[in-house]
Amino acid sequence: MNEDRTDLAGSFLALLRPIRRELEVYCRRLIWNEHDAPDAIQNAVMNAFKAFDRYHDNTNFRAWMFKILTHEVFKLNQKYGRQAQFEFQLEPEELEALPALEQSTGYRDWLNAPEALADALDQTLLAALKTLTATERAVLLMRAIGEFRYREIAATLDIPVGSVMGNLSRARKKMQDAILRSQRRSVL
Amino acid sequence: MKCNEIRNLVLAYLDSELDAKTSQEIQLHLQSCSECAQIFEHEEKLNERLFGVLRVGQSTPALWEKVESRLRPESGVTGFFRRWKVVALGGLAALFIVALAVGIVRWVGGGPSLDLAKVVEKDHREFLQGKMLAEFSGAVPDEVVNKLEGRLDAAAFSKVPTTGGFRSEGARLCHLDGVPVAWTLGRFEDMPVSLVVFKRSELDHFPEALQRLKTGEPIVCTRTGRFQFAVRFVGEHVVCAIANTSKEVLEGLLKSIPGAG
Repeated sequence: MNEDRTDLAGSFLALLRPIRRELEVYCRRLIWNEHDAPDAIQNAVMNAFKAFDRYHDNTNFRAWMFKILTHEVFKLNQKYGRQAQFEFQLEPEELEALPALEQSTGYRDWLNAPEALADALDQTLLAALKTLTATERAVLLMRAIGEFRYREIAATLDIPVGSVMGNLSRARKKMQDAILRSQRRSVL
Repeated sequence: MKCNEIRNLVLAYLDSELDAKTSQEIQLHLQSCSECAQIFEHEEKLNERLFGVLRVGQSTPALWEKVESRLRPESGVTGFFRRWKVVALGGLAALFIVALAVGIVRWVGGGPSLDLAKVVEKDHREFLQGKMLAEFSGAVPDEVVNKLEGRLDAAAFSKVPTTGGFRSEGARLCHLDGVPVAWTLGRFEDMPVSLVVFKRSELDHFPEALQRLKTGEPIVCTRTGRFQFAVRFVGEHVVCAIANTSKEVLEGLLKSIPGAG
C-alpha cells in the first residue's frame, strides 16, 4: 500500500516541483491575507494529490494545479467577505489628472526601470493588486505569472474568453492608474 | 483597419492571441502609423514592467518541505497513529490486519490497475474464447504492412520472448483504443499469453500507464481481472504481456525480448 502511495507521490512531486515557485508567488499575490498563503498551498496540494488518480497525462498539470489553488484561495478569501472584493475608486480630480501624469517623468522612468524609483513604485503596484476584483486579480496573475493563454484562463476560472480579455484590460488599467496616482501624490 | 480598431486589439496582439492574418495587418499598420506604434510600444513596456514585478518572488523551502512530508506514506502512517492513539488496541490490530491484507493483495498484484491493462485484458479474453485468431505467422504480409500507415513498423511483430517454453501461435494487427498494435498470440508452457506491441509515441493514449512508466520502473506490473499484466519499454516500442500467471513469469518473458536489455 505504501509502495503504491510512494509511486503516486513520486509521480505527483515530479510534476509539482518545477512549478512550486510559480504557484507560491501566484498564491501570495492572489490571496487577501498573506498569512493564509501556507494554508492555501497545503490544502491545494493535498486536494490535488487526492484527485491525482483521476488526473490524466494529457491534462495540463500546471493549469490543473493553478485551478485547484485558485479555488482554494477564493475559498479562504471568503472569510474576509466583501473586503476582499473591494474595488478601488478614484476621486474625480484624480481621474482628470491621470492623462497628464502618463507623460510624467516618474512614470516613464518606472517603465524604463531605474532601480531607485522602481522599488518604491513596485511596492505601490503590489499594494494596488488589492484594488482589483477577485476575477481581475486572478486573470492578471494567471497571465503574468502562469503565462497562460486566454482560453486556459477562461477554462480555469469558468468564464468566457471575452470576459478574460475584459478583466485583463481592466486589471491592467487599474494597475497603471495606481502608479500614476502614486506619482501624482509624490509630485504634490 | 482603422486606428481605433487597431488600438482595441493592443493587448491581444501583445499576448499573441490574434490569428496570423490580423497580427500581420496590425504589423503593417504599425509600420505606417507612428502614433499607433508609439501606443503599442508604451503598452508593451507597461506589460513587461507590470508582469516583471508580479513575477518576482521565491518559494519558501520550509513550506514545501512541510507540504511534501504530508505526501510521504511514512508520515501518513505516523500521523494516522498520532490521531488514533486513543483508539483501543483491538481496533488498531483489526485495522492493521486489514491494511496488511490489502497490502499483500497489492504486493502480489504488483500495483493498481492500469488503463492499458484493462483494454488489453478485453482482447485477451476474446483470444481465450476463440473470437480472436492469429492472421499470419512469420514474415509480416504486405497487406498488413500497408495497413500500418506509418503508425507502427513491421519490427513490432518481432518483439517476442526468446525464452525457452514460449511459442508463438501467430500474430495479427489490432487496434486498442484506436492505437495500432502488433498482437502475438502465444503459449508459455501451454498457458495462453498475449503480447501486445506498439509505438512508444502512442503511449499518450494510456495516461495511467504512461504515468507509471515515466517514474522509471523498468517493468510495470498489475493485476487486471484474473490476469497478470506487465508492460515495459523496449527501444522505441512499448511491449505488454498478459496471461493467467504470476508476475515473475511475465517479467521473465518481457526480459527475454530482444533489445529489452
